[in-house]
Amino acid sequence: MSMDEFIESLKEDRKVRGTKSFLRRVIASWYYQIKIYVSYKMNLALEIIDIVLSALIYYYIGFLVSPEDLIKLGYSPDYIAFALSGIALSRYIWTSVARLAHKMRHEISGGTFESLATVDFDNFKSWLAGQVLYGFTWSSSVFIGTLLVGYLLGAKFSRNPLIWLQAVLIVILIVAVHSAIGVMAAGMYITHKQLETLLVLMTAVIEFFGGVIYPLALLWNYPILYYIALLIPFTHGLELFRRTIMDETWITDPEMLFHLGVLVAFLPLIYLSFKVYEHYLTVAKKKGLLSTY
Amino acid sequence: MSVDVVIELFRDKKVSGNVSTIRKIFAAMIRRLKIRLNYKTWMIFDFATTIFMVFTYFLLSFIILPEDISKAGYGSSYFSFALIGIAISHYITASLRSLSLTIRLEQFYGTLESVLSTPTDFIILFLGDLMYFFFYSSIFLLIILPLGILLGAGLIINAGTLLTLLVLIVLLMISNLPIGVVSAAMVLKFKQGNPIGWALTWINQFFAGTFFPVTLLPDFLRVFSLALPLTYSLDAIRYSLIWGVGLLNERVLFDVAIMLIYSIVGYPIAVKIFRKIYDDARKTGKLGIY
Repeated sequence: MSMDEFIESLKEDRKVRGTKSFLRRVIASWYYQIKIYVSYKMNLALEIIDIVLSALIYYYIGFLVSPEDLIKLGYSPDYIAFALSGIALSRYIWTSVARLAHKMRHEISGGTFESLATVDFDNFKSWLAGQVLYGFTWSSSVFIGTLLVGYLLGAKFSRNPLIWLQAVLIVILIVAVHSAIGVMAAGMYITHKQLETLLVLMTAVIEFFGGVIYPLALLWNYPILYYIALLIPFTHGLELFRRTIMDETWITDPEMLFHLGVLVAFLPLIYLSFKVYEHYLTVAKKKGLLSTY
Repeated sequence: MSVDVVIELFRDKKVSGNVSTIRKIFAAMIRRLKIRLNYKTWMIFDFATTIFMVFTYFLLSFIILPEDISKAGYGSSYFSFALIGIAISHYITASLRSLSLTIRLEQFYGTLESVLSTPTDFIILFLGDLMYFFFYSSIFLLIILPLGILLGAGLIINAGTLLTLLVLIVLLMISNLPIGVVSAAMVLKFKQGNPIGWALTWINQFFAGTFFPVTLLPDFLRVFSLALPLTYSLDAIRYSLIWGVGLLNERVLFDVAIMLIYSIVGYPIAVKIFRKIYDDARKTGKLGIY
């Protein structure tokens, strides 16, 4: 009996498959993670402190920033809105890019990944989707918290509901593109355990080049760095988001369309990412690498 | 038979006299260093993120007005101001979080009981860990300061300021260590390591003015600032490196005095708190639970 036939024979009955069943498993994967998260109440309280203090740091740095320079670089003069929109959006990057690999390291080192594998029959698709959804939920709560603190500190974000609808769609697009990188990386992580560090490093690179706390136009003096920044999807996502909530620029604006076009070009990565994940999972199952770390 | 009697029976006073304390501290330091060297990609990550941070604040400094930095007494360059905050941030993390991080990891991997049940006192193991973190953070300092100077930070580096810097860093670690020891005790008690460490780091970074002068804070918040030893450590290091003054300068001397008071008063209290929680955890068998 070949390895493929052996694995096939252990698979669950096909009857449990279907969209409804898939969604139930996605929700289950999301729900158990939420339950774990809310059971650490002290953690929750300290995270709120983190959000408030990190916002306050940029609030006070805002007193030092020259509003004229911000205007010259093409932004509105409100640095607190500028920095907090960047900080809020950057919260999605780690959860999209690196959290899945991080989660898998926990499951593997905790010895529970093989247990997950034994009850799995859709190549972890539902588990992964649930985990991506959880990452999105967690980041969204921090994202909203950061923006709310910003509002309270006087950041001049738009109050137009339609503009916010556009902003939400942009956020979903950014998360989808970056989650694709995360799913792909999680697959590679199963066989290459050093990858998690590189993913965290990638998060730092993305945040630096994305211009989270400084205007991207400052990189014009360093053309190589500027062009590297343009190759990163987050740079375009952040520009879209900032222009939307700070300047109320609609998506039909030519500059906005350019940034949107770049982000959309990365969308096929989502399909590719699940294929890559499946490939590495199959390799790991055959070689018995699921629980090694 | 009471728990105390059982513990006393297990104790063996004779076996611990052969190895000197300094050798034990050194061994604990080497142990931590060897573990770290096994994770080379994490080291690369550590260095890379710090370097990115230097570049981020370098770029940010182009749009910062110098007035408030000057008013606080730190010259006219925001980049120099922020660079010092970044350069010594690893020492801050070392003194505030290293012990709690160590305990949390040992708890998580199930090795805490094995480590703490050896005849070696936990203070010796802590000192070894601390020496490792001092060594590791110093490598960051040696990379970041020259990089900052290369990017145009106006720092005065000579034999006098370097010697002052060394003394001030040792004082920074010693004066902030009591908070780190209490944080480690909280990890033993509440079994939640990272959040306490993060909160401590953020609280200290905010109130001590790592990225902005504390003179910007309103009076009711400055009270918290003045209560933290890190505020004085950062002030002394910045003042010394920006103006090229030594330990005998009035402002630096005042900061040194405050740091010494924190060390002398805080350390015995912190060790007492830790020992109480540690002994309770051993007696109730909860040392390795997380």
